[in-house]
Amino acid sequence: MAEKTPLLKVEHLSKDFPAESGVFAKRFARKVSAVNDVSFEIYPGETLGLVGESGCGKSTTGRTIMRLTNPTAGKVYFEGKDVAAMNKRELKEMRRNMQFIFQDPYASLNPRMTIGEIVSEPMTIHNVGTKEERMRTVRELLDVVGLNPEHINRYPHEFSGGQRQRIGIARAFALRPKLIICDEPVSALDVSIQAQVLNLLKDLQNRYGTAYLFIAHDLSVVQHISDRVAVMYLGKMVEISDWKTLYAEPHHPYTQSLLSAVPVPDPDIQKSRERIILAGDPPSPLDPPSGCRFHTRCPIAQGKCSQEAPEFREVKPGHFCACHFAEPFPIKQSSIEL
Amino acid sequence: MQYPDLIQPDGEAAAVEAHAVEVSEGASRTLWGDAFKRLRKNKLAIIAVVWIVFVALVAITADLWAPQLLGSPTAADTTAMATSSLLPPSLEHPFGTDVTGRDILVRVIYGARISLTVGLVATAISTVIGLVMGAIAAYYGGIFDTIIMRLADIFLAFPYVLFVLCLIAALGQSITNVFIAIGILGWPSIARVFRSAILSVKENDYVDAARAMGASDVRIIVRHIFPNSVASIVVYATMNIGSAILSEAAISFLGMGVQPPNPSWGIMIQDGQAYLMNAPWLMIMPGLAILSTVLAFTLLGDGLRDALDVKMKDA
Repeated sequence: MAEKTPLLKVEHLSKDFPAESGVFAKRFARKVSAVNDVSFEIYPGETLGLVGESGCGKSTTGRTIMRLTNPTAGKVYFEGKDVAAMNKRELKEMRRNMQFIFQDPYASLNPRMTIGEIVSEPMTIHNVGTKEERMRTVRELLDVVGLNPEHINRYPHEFSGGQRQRIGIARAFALRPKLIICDEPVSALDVSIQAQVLNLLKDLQNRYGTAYLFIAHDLSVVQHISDRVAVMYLGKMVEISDWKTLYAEPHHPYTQSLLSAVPVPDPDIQKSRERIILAGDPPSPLDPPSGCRFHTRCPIAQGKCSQEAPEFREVKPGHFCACHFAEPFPIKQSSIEL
Repeated sequence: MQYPDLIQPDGEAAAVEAHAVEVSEGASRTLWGDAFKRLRKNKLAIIAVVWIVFVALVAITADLWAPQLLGSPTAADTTAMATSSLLPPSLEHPFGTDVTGRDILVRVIYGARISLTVGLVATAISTVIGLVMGAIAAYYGGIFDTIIMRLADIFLAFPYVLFVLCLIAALGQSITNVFIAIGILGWPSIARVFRSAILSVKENDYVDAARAMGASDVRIIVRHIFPNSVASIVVYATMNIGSAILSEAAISFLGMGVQPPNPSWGIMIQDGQAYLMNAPWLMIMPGLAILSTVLAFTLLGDGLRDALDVKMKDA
């Protein structure tokens, strides 16, 4: 994997939002640092899972990569080109190869357009094929995502949540992009449908060799689909590794606590296993803690943690972790069989 | 055992959802089609539509039959004045006659022409200005938003009738200028409604989705934002027709609108006020015409609002 050139390279990406506006905003400007110094790479055809709790900046990271918002600092390279420096034409070309799947299947489809119009819109915008060819592609896509191609003239409100998400997936694949950013694509669906949609995404990946940046707040969902997993906390990346290592030997105490919170479908293990319960709420990103951002809730925090921000260092080949005292956490093998 | 996991990898087998939750069969319907269906169930709105269509047809075709049947709406001939002045409603003159012996019904019918025209033309002017202003304010935001919305606030802060009268005085007194004055003064409320509609539509993921696909600003506005915010404008414009009719009646009543001997509902009420005691039909008939027509537009607007509300899907 390391030999290949990355499809997407994110370097020291930061995104701040102004928290107050008004007459004196310039002087007392406060900002929410939603994403802070995040770096990672995605290789062609792989899936990087990005997890973290609500408000940790996962979605902002995805939106900034797509340049739906502009980054405050840092660089995003897509196929070696700096996304932030692209002009309109280059940006349009880039968007042909990078698509987005949204979390809310109800808000992400225009209620006044038919399914055919929605799925063919990317092709219309990029002038792909004739109208008949586009409609043929739409029918194929609908068939591939498990919808009835006969429904091409129906409207989004005539479909269920799972079906709508399939429409969103068909739209994202219309141009055969190289990378799709999936922003919590299954978290709005109920559990039985989640599995189907995840399997669909996996099938499509095998078929077209698309890379995914898969954003989620649920480790079990991410585990199912990812090659590598990155964990974010309060705008910072705390750990990244291939998923087997991360799940077997999480180094960062935050990752360890997240893993220990995943329910086990076996009452005996569930009762006996160790759980790390974090105290309190995540601190406000308006006023992030000094040093390591996790030290206020960390079970192993020491004096150093509140003063010095830990480096994002390679604890093992391909396994990065941002903790002064990172070490593998002995999760009981009985609870996890890989 | 699989890692704690709610997802069975063999979930394929469970792929029953896609077609199981099949939507009710039948032809695909558009949201406008749905809205029309819902509107048809609203009795008051249907009565309103019927009334508006009736008034419009009568007003449009008036030249073909009304003068022959009921006499000229404007001519005041001395013989008529002597014989049929201030007659109460009867078979021959269903609404009675005025002081110069003209039939009230025919004057109400010709007055409808003025009222409906002023309602439509003034609302069209307000809507065009309001849409452009509202769209600029909402889509581009920042300084555009501030300037346009403060301008709208200033317009709304003036006493309305006084403002219209001043504008007509400045433009010169003619019926066209009445349309223009009422139209120009109507834009701030439409701009506000449209602005807030765009602002809420803009937040939707499908606008971001279109941007992520590489759609241009124009495409986003025309294909995504406009179709989803136009419903509130349709509702508001419908109600605005009613208030434009009222404004014209008020202006004409005050003597700055339609000039005698041309009939207008406002002028007829003004003419009638001197005879309120001995010939009340002079005021009542045009008053009823104003009331029923304005009410009809308001009820239609109400019905449209309910019908276009996507949340009331199954009503």
